[in-house]
Amino acid sequence: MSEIINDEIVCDIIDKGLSALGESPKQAIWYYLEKDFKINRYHLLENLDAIEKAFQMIFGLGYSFLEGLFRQQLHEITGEDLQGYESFADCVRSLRMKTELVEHSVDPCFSQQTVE
Amino acid sequence: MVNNGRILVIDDDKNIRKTLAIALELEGFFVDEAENGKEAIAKSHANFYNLAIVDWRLPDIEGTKLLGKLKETTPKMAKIMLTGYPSMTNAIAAVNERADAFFLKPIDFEVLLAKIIELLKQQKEARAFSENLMVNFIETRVKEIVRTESKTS
Repeated sequence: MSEIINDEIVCDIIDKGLSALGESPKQAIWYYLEKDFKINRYHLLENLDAIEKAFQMIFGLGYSFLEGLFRQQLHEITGEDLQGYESFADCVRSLRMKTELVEHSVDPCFSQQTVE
Repeated sequence: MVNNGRILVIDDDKNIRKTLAIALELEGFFVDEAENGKEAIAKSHANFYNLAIVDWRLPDIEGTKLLGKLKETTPKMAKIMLTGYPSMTNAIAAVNERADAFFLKPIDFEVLLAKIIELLKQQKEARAFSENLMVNFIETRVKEIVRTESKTS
């Protein structure tokens, strides 16, 4: 997994998924998410559950179609198998944890101190 | 004029296929080609096309039957039939399989082009209409949600 999942990537994934509905519906959704659900599109990581809840409330069972598109986009970016996760929010959280673990783990190749 | 539709030209006659493809590309369209039904179905599964130009006689499938198969892969794709064998039976079969237009060979390219532009315009208008319906749906749902939430809180 090369990409670190950040706000920008999550926003991009959701934006691409919503594009399947057409440009105007996409703009309408972003507008109402911000206006009525108080979800800022540039701070999605802290609002993953809230955005999923908003989509479920708006689209009902139809959200599963959008969720499939979000997962597909996420898979294309990360190359990770996303089967088995309960929701898109779970996928993102889990992948973020994985990347953080990799970032903080000590790579033996770089752990030796350089001798000056 | 800049056209941005995606067109699939299906004809086993290489000369007709290539000539149409080049002429349409010069008009700004993205054009893909298929020389038989099998290739056309595979390409329409893998890619999105706004419109297909289908020859009546293909080596592996009849053009009208291919129209039905293409409808399964891309329901809203516009379809134009070409034939060198004009007959009422052929025309009826094309209409029954929901062809959007029926042209006789040799083709008058200007007339074909005008039809393609008209069909793509209709497609665009239909898409805009569905998008408007979707926006209305979203607005209505959000208003309902906000109303319900404010009642419960």
